Amino acid sequence: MINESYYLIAFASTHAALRAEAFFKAHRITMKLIPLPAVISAGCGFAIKLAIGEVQAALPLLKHATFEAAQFYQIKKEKGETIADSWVI
Amino acid sequence: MFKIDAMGDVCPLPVIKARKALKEHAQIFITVDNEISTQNLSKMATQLGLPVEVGKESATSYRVYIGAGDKAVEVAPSARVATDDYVVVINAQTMGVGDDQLGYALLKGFTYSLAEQDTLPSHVLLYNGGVHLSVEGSEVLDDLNALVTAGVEILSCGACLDFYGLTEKLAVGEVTNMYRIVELMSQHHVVRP
Repeated sequence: MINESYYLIAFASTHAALRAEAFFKAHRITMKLIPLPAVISAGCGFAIKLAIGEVQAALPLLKHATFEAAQFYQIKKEKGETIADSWVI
Repeated sequence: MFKIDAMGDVCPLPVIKARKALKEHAQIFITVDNEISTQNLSKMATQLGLPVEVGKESATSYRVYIGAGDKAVEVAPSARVATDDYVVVINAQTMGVGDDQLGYALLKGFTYSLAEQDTLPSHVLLYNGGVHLSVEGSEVLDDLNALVTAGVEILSCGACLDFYGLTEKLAVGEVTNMYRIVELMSQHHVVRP
């Protein structure tokens, strides 16, 4: 948990996040529904945390999925700091 | 040596201040006005693998030295520490009352966020529907295992596991009984999702 790196998909609504979780589960993608990290938004919301190793499997699916205004980030945790970079797919 | 004045601070403030200082300083000494704080600081230091020494000046003045003097101490900045400051009680598979799907998503978010906290509870108590979280197939086992690794005790109600037919499926933590649950809840600040 000390140095961690993963991809994050943020959603415009809670419903969209829950739909995305169900979508990924149905496609057997290992992911996790987590609260949106404060570094991205102070607002309340959910995001999908995707391990780097799962990206290759998830990417083709993402192109067919219709998530509302999803935003993609690469998250890095280093020395207690959380850094979010936009991730262009 | 970095000095911290935590006189008059109530738990968990001294622990939080000490942890913050240890991210930047190899050695700290912190003054507190109660013995409970010295115990919590000692526990934190031990969990971080740091030497600790407590000096009592009077009944309302204590000095706690943490850290090694001869080398810079590598304190993992995100190392989580279990404290005696609170216990978490989860008694259902949902967080809040309303929509169950949302409630379940919120509860998963709660356990994830709990495992990310710097100051962790001493115990997580699971009873009634909450025992579904600590058994095989639970989606939050990784969060609960992370808490165990950090020193948090996960206790599931034995009668509840039996009621749901889950006794053989317990995957993390230990089984407990009502006496222990009442004891822990009466002695700690209780946080519920």
